[in-house]
Amino acid sequence: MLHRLRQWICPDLAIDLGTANTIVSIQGEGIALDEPSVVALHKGSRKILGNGTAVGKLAKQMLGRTPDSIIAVRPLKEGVITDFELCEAMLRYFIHKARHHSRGLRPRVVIAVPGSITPVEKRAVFNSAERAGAGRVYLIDESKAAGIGAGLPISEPMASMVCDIGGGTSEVAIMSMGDTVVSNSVRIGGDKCDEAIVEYMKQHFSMRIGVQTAEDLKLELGSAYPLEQELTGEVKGLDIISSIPRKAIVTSEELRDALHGPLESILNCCKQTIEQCKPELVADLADNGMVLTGGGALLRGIAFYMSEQLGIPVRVDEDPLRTVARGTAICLEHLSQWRHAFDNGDGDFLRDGPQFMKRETRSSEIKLALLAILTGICLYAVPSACSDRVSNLIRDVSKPGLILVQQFKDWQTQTAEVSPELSRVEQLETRLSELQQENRRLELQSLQLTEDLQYLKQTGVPSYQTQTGERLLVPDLIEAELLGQSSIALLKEGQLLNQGRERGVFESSFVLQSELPLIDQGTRQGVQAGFSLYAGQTVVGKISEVGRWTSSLIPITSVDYRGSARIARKTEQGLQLGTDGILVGMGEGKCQLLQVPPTESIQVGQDVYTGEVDRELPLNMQSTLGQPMYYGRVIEAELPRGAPYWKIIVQPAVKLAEVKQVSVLRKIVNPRRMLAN
Amino acid sequence: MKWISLLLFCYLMLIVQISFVPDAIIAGSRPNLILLVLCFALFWFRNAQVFLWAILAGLICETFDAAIPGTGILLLTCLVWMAFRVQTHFQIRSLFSRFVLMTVMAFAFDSVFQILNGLNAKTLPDLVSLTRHAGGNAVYTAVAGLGLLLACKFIQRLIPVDFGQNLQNRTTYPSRFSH
Repeated sequence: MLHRLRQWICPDLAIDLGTANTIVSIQGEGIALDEPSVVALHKGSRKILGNGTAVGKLAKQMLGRTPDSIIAVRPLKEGVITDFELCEAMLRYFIHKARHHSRGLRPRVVIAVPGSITPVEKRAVFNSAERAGAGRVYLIDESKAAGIGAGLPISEPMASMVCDIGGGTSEVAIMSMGDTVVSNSVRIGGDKCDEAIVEYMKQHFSMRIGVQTAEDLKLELGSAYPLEQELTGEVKGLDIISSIPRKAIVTSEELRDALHGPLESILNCCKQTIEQCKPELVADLADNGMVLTGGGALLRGIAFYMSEQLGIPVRVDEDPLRTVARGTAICLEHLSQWRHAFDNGDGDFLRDGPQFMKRETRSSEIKLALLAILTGICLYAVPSACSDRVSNLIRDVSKPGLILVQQFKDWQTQTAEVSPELSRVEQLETRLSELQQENRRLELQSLQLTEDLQYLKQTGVPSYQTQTGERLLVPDLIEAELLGQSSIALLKEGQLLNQGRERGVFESSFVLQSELPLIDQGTRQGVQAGFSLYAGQTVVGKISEVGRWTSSLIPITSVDYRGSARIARKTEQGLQLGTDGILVGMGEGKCQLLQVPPTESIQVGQDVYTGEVDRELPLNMQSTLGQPMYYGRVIEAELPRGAPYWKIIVQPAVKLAEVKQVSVLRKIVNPRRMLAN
Repeated sequence: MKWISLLLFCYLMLIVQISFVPDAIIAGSRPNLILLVLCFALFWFRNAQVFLWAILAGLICETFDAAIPGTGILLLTCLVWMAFRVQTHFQIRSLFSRFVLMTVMAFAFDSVFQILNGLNAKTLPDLVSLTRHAGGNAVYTAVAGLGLLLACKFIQRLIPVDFGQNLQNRTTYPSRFSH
């Protein structure tokens, strides 16, 4: 799955890094780029022309036609990198051009290289590709890639022979059972053929021509075997004797003569490879023959020439220029299957094999991970006294820095001036409000601690919990202002609602007027429907609907209000709380306490507190408070004959109209648990 | 050199976390700078040494979070192992992918660490609020990490000396070509 995800995010690339042409294929998409391996740059600054875009086709047009200040060069010669920087720049350009989307990741890249290159030259290819933006780099022999690309049965136990005639090198390999049995490489290819033509023209026609012209001539008239109808062509160049331009007529026979030397070398390489092969495989070759790939395979009659000289069937691949690229792309598609055939750069080519280094890296990773896991388990298992020592050590180490910061903060506080704009009264009011808030928080904390203490006394806990103690979710009070008529009018004037998409309000929804009072806190402050509201220790209502910035509340006198409540009796032992009943609002500033059984002794003037567990509250808030909160006083109590419950009327202790500020009780994640203590 | 630099960075982050982060809460979220140190170790070392940093970061988290001993180390080791494999597999180097990695790590660590260390309410709303809180913290952590990474890059450009180069056996050189 990880591989599929990776392929989707960042497809891998296959590159045939040839001396003459570079072909880039994208995994799952095929060949994306086929351009000459040429770069044009300023001679002095060595910067690539056109802000780095004079690479490939554009640069090839300049080849041999540049002024002194500009050079168009090939970063590779005879299959190996001759200019490291230029090769890196060229690869970077090609990789960026081939990949339309990178999504921030580096692709894995399989590069086909000649089999004859040295470890140092391989390292140069690795480094160039990595610096050009490749992630993991794999190298594959060109001959093997050519065999795969030509569709030869290289995995079968029979010989498959391939000859890849590239621009700089010619690779000959005999493969069987998925690997190379014998391979040879000569640093002779299309370039050497061009040079041979240039030399031939100089010697036989006393004429100087460029490499580009020689290549054109080779493509137009070149052949390796006598043709049925010989060709003739015109060539323009510089007369060496008179030093003036002139034309000459060249025939395909003459060019064949010119190309004889390089072709002879390639043929010898093929013969040498066959000689080194085991007899059984040679017998297979007599039946299966050899496949020619690469640009050199496009030379007319080369298959006949080779077949005649070697005595085995020879054929040219359908698309010889792209055979290696095709094979490299196939390897990329089946990377896990062919991985063993690659050099992956993990190893030191001069000493150890890559596989050895990879195993060692993985082994150290597993060892260190196990060490970390064991450390964790040991810390858990050892007595708390030992783990405390480690914790104390870390605390002690951090102490100097903390002291320094504290001193800095103290110094800053001393130097900070008190704002002169605030009057003394305002300052005192602010201070008083802060202290009141702090006082409420401390009350809650005290309740929390009492509850925890009782729990610990009753149950007992494992040793490690005695040192932790901090609960994850803790109650928290936030101050809320009750919005007056003017504020609500302002909201209405502004055509604003205190609801949003979270509560299912969308465009074209009906708007109904709500008569419920509002407070200035909403979802942004973490308020949720059902949260209780207090004025000091007295319950005043609960949240009905929550908007983004405001919320509406149900006063306890409202008919919509429901809450658990019980009556407290003053006895000699202290305050004694009775059975839970349900407090409902009656409207007109009064409440009714329902479902109190006749077994309870009720008198007018008794106090009403919240129930032991308020089932009407949201689940996560039911056990928040450890102490009952005050509702009001009984003003009427009647037990009609035969009735199952008391009929009790309660007068709330606080009228909502008299209150300007309330506290909303909510539950938050303990800030001490987030590395803040 | 890298070890000492990162150790100093870790100490600095610890002091900042304890002293200044409580004053820098945005929308109830706070960054976990100790986790950032671990992420930076992952990005800078790019090898198995990061597990040693997981031990150190885990110890710090446990100490200053009143947690059950060992839970921080175990959790961070597991997380960093996954992150290490992802980094190796995807060759993560860009700022965006590192930002995503930091966010995911911070979110996973914050939520699982709190659950492991005594989530006393087991209702869905509690978990939702915890997840929301951890999400906020994770984004804040990743943004802080991204800022630090950018700052590092900027400072590296200002300094003319390349600290990463091998002075004994120079095998790399900066490219003069940019695309």
